[in-house]
Amino acid sequence: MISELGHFLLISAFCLNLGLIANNISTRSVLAGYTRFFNRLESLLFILLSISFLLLIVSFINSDFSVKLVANNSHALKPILYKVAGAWGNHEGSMLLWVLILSVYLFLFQASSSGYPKALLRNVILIQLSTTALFLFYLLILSNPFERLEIPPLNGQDLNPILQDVLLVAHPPILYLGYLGLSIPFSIAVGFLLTNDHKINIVSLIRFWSLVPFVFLTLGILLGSIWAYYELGWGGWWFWDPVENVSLLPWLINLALIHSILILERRSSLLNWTILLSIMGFSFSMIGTFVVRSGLITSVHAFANDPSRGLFILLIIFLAIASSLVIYITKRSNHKNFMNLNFASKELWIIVQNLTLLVIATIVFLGTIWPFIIEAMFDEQVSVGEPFYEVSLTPFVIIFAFMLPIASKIRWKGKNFSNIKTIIGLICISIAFSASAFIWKEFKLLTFIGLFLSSWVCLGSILEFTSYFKSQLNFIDSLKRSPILNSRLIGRTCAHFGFGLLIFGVTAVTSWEVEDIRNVEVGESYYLKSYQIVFKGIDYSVEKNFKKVSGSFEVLNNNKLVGTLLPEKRLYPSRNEVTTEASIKPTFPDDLYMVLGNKIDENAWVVRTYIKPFISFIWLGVILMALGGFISLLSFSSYNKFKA
Amino acid sequence: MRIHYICLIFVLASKAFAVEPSEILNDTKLEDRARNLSSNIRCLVCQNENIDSSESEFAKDLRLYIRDQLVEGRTDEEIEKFLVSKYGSYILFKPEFTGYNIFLYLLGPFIFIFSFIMILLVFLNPKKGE
Repeated sequence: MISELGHFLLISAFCLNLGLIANNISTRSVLAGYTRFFNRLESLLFILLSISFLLLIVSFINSDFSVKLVANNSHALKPILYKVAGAWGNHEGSMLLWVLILSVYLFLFQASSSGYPKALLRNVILIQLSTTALFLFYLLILSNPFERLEIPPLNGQDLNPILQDVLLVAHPPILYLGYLGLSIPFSIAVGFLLTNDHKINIVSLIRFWSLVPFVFLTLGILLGSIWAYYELGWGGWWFWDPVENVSLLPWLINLALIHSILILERRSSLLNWTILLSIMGFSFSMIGTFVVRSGLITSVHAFANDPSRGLFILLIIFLAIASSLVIYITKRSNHKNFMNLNFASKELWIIVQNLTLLVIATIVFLGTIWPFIIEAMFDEQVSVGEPFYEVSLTPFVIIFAFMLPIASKIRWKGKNFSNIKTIIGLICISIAFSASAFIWKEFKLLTFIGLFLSSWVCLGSILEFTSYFKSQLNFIDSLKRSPILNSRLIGRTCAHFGFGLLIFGVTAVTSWEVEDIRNVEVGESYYLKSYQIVFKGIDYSVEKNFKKVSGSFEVLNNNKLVGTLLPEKRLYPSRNEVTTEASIKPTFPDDLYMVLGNKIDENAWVVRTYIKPFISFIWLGVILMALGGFISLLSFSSYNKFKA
Repeated sequence: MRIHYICLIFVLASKAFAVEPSEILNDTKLEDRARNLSSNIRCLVCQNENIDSSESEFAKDLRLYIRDQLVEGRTDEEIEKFLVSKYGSYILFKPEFTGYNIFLYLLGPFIFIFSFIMILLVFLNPKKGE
């Protein structure tokens, strides 16, 4: 009954969605205002979809194996948290979540943006509704999550064991909040073009709605990366897997958008470019979904196995992107507002920053689809992986990072480098910092550059922050006087500083990681850098839905106990799969990372141990970037208060 | 998809485990080169792994082969060339800088340089009156 009700609600939501679109189009000539009544109906769409999704979760919690999706992805013995997460750990369920979040954003957008011209809002809502309708249609026709089985099995097939993890419970919803958050700038951009009134100021609208997905995308990518770090057992945190790449693409485009909007705000220029970036951001979100779901690539993420689905999704995406581009080409602003820029003006540097981000995105995108292109055109197979991206992206990341402090230090409409002394001073300090590391370590050029850039970016962002307050008479006074400027300034400083930390972490891990692979007997101990590691023993046990072997290793530093490492190997009988659970001991600044390998004999095991210096800086840096976006968002609430 | 299944069979059948202690060369310089080479070589029976982290027998054989060749004094290029001639260019994660792959390598830098010049031309000297 539950699943039939869920299905019924989905169908009702689709009908309502179509009705709302028809209403949106038909009432524009008849009714002048957008009545509250229809506003309510749009929140009904969100309510219907939420209940439908909750019912799917209930089916998972009840382990109702007569529902095909539950039978394929759950198991009666699975812990309750993973039963719930099973609802989105598969194709159909995650598509339902996708549509649900689209409607959530529609709801939030309506609730928050009342002050804008009605014509614009109506168009934005129309675009958002149409996108939702396309995906709902797909969900109902080709991937119904509530499909029943005629003969229910006794037990389910279980969720892929490596996906049974706390972080992965949160990863898909947060990433989706990011991906689909980009649908709002997309709808705003297309809706704006359709309104045909280029005088409407959409700056703060787009700025707000591009910062929201920035926060979620950053966190979503971070969660995936941390998961890969401890779950896949290779000690890496970014693998240039196609699925990782496609999540990076909308992030890069969105980052460009967040910065180009600053120029639109200050100089009323680059309107078309900003609109185009808004369209591209969500387009890449959709392309990402297509790549993940089409079965074109094999990875832990590829859960669609029916090629007709892939084709249909491709069709939807093509429709959405192509029509929005046609609207862009026909309706974009012809007003030419060329800025007269100087080398010392912030605008120029932000434009070049945008270009660098787009080039990075192009390389990532081309690298990801290159194997498909070559196979389609020449019937040959090539691989594009980590070493390629390292070689081709490094120069652009260096350019990007080097420009950052200069761009944020120089002035809008600047005529000359008035801060040239500070900039040169910062460069000198950073070179000294970077060089000092090689008193202890062997010199490598890339390490040197990485350290230099991290110090340059971090110091630059701090200096910008302090110099702003130096110009004010009193810190508290200035906080009171301009809350908007301050939360933007704090947000920006935080995000830029986080980026500097990220560079530092990446440089440190790639340059100074220590790896050790050896056979160890119980009772034996070995040294790694200054750490002494003692193999205490091995333990077998049976858990609720898996069996495990776990080793116990004591780590001592200068004869003081630092902690115990407990690496595991698990066998999930329901799928006959073996997973390795790395054990990680963060002892600042190093992470000790251990993986249990094969059994050699009764007492000896293969053990891989890594020392990962400063890897926590990677996570911390990314968290600060997301936090920076969040703090910038606060400027909008203080702005409203300020007005009141 | 077929490759996927073959990989699954391998993973289940053999519990081999990435780089094993017995494979490691005593000469650290050669071992470093072996690791460096391995990171560029794809395990053909796996999803998206290099032979360094793959657990398959195929990867193990290649790891041992590379080390044998290094001990015999072959250069990195010779070993990569041999692997490409035997398994095709699919085996390298970093495509060779030849033929159509040149496009893959140069498109990004080309767009950057071209657009950079365009930006300077448009914004540094806008025509008067516009």
